Amino acid sequence: MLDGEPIIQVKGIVKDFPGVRALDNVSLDIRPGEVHVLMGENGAGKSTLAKILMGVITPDAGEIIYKGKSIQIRTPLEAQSYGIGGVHQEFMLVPWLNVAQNIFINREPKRWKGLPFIDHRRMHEESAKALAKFGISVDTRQPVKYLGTAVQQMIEICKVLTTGPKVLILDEPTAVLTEREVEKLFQYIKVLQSQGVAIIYISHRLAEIRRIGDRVTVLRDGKYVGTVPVREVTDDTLVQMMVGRNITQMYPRHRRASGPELLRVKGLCVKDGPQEVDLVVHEGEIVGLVGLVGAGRTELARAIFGIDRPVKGEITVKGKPVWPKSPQQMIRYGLGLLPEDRKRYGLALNMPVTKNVIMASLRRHFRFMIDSQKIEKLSNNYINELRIATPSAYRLVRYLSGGNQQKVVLAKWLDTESKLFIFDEPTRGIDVGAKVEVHALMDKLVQEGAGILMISSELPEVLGMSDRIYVMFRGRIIGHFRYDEADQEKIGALMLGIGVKEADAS
Amino acid sequence: MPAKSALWKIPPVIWIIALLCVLYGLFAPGFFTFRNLQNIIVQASPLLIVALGMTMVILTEGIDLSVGLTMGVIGVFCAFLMKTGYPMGLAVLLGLSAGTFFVFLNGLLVSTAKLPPFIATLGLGSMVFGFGLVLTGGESVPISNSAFRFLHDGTIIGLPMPIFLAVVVFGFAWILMYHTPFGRNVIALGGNPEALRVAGVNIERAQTLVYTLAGFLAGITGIIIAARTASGYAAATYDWEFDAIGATIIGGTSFEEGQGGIGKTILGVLLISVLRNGLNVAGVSNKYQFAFIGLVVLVAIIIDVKFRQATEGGAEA
Repeated sequence: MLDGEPIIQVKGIVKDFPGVRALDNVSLDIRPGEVHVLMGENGAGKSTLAKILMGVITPDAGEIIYKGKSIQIRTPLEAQSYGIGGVHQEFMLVPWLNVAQNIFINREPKRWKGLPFIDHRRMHEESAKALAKFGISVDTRQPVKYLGTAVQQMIEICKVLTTGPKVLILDEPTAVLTEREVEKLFQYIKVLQSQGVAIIYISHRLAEIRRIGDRVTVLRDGKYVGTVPVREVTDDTLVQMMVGRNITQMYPRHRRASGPELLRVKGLCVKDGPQEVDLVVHEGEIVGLVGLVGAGRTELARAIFGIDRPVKGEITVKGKPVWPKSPQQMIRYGLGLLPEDRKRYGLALNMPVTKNVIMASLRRHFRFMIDSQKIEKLSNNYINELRIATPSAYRLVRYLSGGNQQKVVLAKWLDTESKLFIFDEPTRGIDVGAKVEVHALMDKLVQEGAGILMISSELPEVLGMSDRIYVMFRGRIIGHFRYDEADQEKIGALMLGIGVKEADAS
Repeated sequence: MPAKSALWKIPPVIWIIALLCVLYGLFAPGFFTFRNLQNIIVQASPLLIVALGMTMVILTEGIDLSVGLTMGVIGVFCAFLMKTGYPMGLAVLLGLSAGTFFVFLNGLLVSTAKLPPFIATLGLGSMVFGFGLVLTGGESVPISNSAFRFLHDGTIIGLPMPIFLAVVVFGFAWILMYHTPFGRNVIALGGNPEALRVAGVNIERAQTLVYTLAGFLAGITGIIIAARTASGYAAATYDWEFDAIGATIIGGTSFEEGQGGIGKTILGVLLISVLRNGLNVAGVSNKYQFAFIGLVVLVAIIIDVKFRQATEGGAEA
């Protein structure tokens, strides 16, 4: 299966975007019938390479060789003509077109040859057939807007498969799929493999790579690191190849005795949200708050921070009772919130690092005017201290990677001299290396006497970082553990509400 | 209760039209005569033609604020050409081409120069209007050609010309929207242009084409209006984009995501036409008409938006 001439080769591909070299002299070859995994952290250049092969962007330099002949792929149609097609990482469906229209977008079967009239009947029949292969039966006349993300993703996959690709590119296809659909997809990938289809599979889930991958190519910072057969490589080696160094510990935590109480929440209720929530955060503590999406964790954070008004309950900060009226007020009490959606709520994307850093502490920096030299110095201090990778303090935050953006949000709260932080999904969407750094910073903060309430959906992160863990289910706290009494099974079951009766849920 | 749920499915626009009809029936004698009802349809026809183009443009998340002025200037242009001795057929053809070309430029500004459609169409509309004023010195140009006037006053297979043209244009637009790739492009340009691009569609060209078609439809409308008034006057239809946009939005087309379609634009057109006609029949002065129409259109849109939120909220969750 692994031998034979490569169907497609790329040689010395270079692609520059303003300010970054996304791909720097990358080469690889894909053979028919193999699943070739592309791995790398966010920003490593995987999706850029995928887009080049799909004709969405054109490389600045380098060569693409298809079945021994040098070719150019300038448009998606040209890619299609070589049998190259794929599923993009981004949502590529049109919400108000129906399922069949989306699957056959720009390839609609025509009623009469040479005339533009669409044969709707055939389009719906073939769409239903393609979806049925994955056990999905939806009304193909429905707009995709009304369908769940998993079904939408399967529609994207059917969109490519109905073109009969020879080279199939799947860019993180399982991120939004449920277990059952992943199973179906993997089965189908095996079928395609046996038909000689070459598959480029982009992922950073090690478990998936082990299950379906034949060879894996690792990219880092746009550079080619190496290609290895999946069977002959350990997880540690792969991670090391991706990150470029040895990660000894994902969760660098030095637990200490906790200090006096920083935050106490008692009987807090929010309309359509958390109900009768009690929790405590002490100095020197990371307190994990877990629950399913919709359990009310973010709503709780917003209420404590004064964004949404709670309806009743008590909040004390450092022993002083506070009724949260606005974020401004809570900031004065020393609170800081790293929101879940940092791009929307945490940053001003089109402003430079400097202005983001002083965003919440403006009052302190504002005398007669703002001393921009002082601000630059201040920002540079944070850039060094937090190791924010940016060419300068004046770089627009928009252009930083997810991990570095998160560090800017953190710098903003450090500058308010906050002592009590709410971290809502602090490492979502940022890559392994930056994750470890954010974890290390959190540890450092609590060493210096801060307290952190950490909302996270990643159980390993919660277990690895927290001193204590609260479990939330349908708006209520239904479990409370010390880190050494907790394990994945116990917490996982509680998150799903298993063993909880409605009556004693409070 | 199936009876109730069936009633709930009727879009609120229809209720509002029905309510207006009842009110006019009570307070505007002469509203419910065959002649007047036919009149409403005749008046609604040119608005439908231009509103169809507007609906397509709005579906692409665009807008065309130049249509009213473009329509007027096309009328002026036709009148001017006929006055200087061009035969009527050629004048109409040139008028249509000129209008289509103007709006094609709109399309280019939006799709290629990436100007916001508001500004592009507003600016171009103003330029075109200026051109119309220069051509005629701001005067109305009379049209005596009876063949030209046939385009509004004549009948064909028993139908008044405007109705006939509206039916033909609607059929043409329907096929284009729902049976050819053009319609898919319109919906996708508003919904997710990137999806269209990765499927290999030249989205700049597709977008320009939508504006151009809308311009062509506005041209047809401009000619019908010139035939109705037997004159070309640059400011004759200066406020028509409000009616066209209003009809589109009342018809349930949204400014976002390419949601909506041309079918229900008919209802929006009907609402505005009934409203205007009734006010005329009831003898309400022009001054009050403006304020009243604006009010009713806004209320209709608010009711419709609330109604859709109420009925679709469940489906989306």
